[in-house]
Amino acid sequence: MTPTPRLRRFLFSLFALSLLAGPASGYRFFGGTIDDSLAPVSENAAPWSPSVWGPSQTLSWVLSEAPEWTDSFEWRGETYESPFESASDVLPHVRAALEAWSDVPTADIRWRVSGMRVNLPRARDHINAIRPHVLDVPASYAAVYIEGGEILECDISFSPGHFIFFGRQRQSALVHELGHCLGLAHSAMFPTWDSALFPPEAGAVWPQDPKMAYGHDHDPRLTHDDIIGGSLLRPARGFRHGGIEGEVTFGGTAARFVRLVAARIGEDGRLGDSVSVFTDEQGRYRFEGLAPGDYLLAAGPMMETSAHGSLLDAGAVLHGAEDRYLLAPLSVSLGASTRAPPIALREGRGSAVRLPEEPG
Amino acid sequence: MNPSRLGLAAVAAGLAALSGCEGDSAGPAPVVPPPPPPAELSASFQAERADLAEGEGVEIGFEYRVTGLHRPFVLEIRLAGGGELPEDVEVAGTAVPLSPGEDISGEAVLTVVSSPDQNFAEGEEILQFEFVPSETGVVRTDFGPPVEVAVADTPYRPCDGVVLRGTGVEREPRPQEESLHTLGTTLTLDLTGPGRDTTFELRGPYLEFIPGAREPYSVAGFGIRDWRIETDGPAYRHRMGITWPSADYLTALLVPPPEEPPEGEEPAPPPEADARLVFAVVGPSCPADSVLTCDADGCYPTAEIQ
Repeated sequence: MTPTPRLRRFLFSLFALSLLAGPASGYRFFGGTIDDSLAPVSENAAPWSPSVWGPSQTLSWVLSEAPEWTDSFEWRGETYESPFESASDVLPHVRAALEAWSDVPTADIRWRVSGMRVNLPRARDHINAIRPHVLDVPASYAAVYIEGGEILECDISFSPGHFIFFGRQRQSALVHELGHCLGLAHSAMFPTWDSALFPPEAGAVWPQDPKMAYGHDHDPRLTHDDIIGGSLLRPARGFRHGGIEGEVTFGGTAARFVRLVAARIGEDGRLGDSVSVFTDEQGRYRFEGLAPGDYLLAAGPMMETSAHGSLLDAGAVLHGAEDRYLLAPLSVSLGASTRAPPIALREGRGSAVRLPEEPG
Repeated sequence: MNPSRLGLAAVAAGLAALSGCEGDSAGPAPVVPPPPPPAELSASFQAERADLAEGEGVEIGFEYRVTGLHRPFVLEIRLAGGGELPEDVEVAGTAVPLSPGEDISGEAVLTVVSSPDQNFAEGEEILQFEFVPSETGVVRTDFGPPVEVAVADTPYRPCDGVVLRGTGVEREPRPQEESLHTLGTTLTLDLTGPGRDTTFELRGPYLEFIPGAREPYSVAGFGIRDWRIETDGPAYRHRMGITWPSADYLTALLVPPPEEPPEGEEPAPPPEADARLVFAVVGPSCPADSVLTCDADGCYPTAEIQ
């Protein structure tokens, strides 16, 4: 079929933000090694080496002055001119993306652009670099170098295509890649799957994707999910929080790598700030970094399989499980992890309506 | 003689002869009495509104007075606006026969009974009843305002400590794409006692996305608007505005536009996509799965997903 204009836009943005996270797609955090990238909680996460970026220290970035920033961009037979006349035009956007993270009050994230260079090798060179990357799709990626369980360097290859196609909210993909450089893997949440059908103006409960999702919206602001992830990796002094933990089963056995969302109930009773995690191989999960208050939980299979390849390889429950919403609020206190009742996902989902592929 | 005068005389003679055939041919022509003046009929309901729940009935009294009624007459009550009664509503006492008389007054009762059904998201049903004016001119009427009867939806209790209510399902244009529509209702779930640990399981619709994905995967094909939770001691109340695609919306998403038909043939109509929201209420106080379906007519329990 010819998709509706809305669907066409939606599919396009899905493809446009097909990011390559290095070194491997984990969940929530990158683990200590490439082979052990499934880090569900912050204590298993790979931190930055204190010798490179210790607490209260500032990480330096170098912006490439390579001429590719100004290259035209080919997309489906059309040629688009680069919005940049030089690398200097890129600099304000990089600074804005860095500030999105460094403005998080509960996190100790200090980083800046220290300079620009014409020649930056595409290799590990102890320089955290942001380079232009022109492909046949507007795709960007972050290469995170981990050794001995610590992050030593991060390089971002960024497509000017994001700036061509996504207009005024164009820093979104840069914010995403910088999140990988912090040590964050792809988020489990995808609220705009709902808003693909029912956009935020229709009053969706969760109108904005986390920046660490496989990004279907282009709002560069961090969400609660991003803020908690960054704060757990690089906590500011005095960051105190609580959590929720429990188990999920599917068909009587551990539900491997299914998605859970905890949504905080605001003072007015409305669902608000949301955080997501995956279960581990045993179907266990743990939310960290939660502010005190009451929360509702939802569970279901992962969305956007391309964002979580390593979880698929590890046997994630994908097809057949229904989404489940727990209706009894769970109370979270500072310094404690609330035990949630067991969640038993059941078979179903067999009647999924298959949407057609984008033609051409 | 003037021919025209002669003609008139001949007609007058003919009329006299005709009159003579009907009456006493020996006496004078009779006087036809004038028709009686129309009777005066007034009637009014004793209340402006009555409320009833599904499965209940209500009696609505009304008063009437008629003067100068020379013929039998029936005072009738009907649904205002000329519509038909819903299938789940029965009415009695809609006709009061009035016998001739100079001054007759009385009271009577209109009975409205609502049959229970399992639809818990019909919304409040408002019916208006009015007196039927005379169309013959025999009776001059002076009727009071119609009476409004509100039939409240009956909540559904799938499990011990779980009560479900829904507003009437509404069809709305989709924002920014008003040729397509969504269906929506606001569900209220009251959870008390053994129902507090109840969960909500989405059975459909799910939409399966493939492009760009490593594996096909499906996502919930519904949106939740303005989800609020009220806590009253050990009881919880959830209010969820749930929206799902209407048939035209799903059809537009799923079905390719029809190919150009051969000359002289009509294009095949697109298949109708299923536009139902199906969910289950699952919990320790539920003896079995309680599967519920919402469609354009409302929400109701269903045994199986078709």
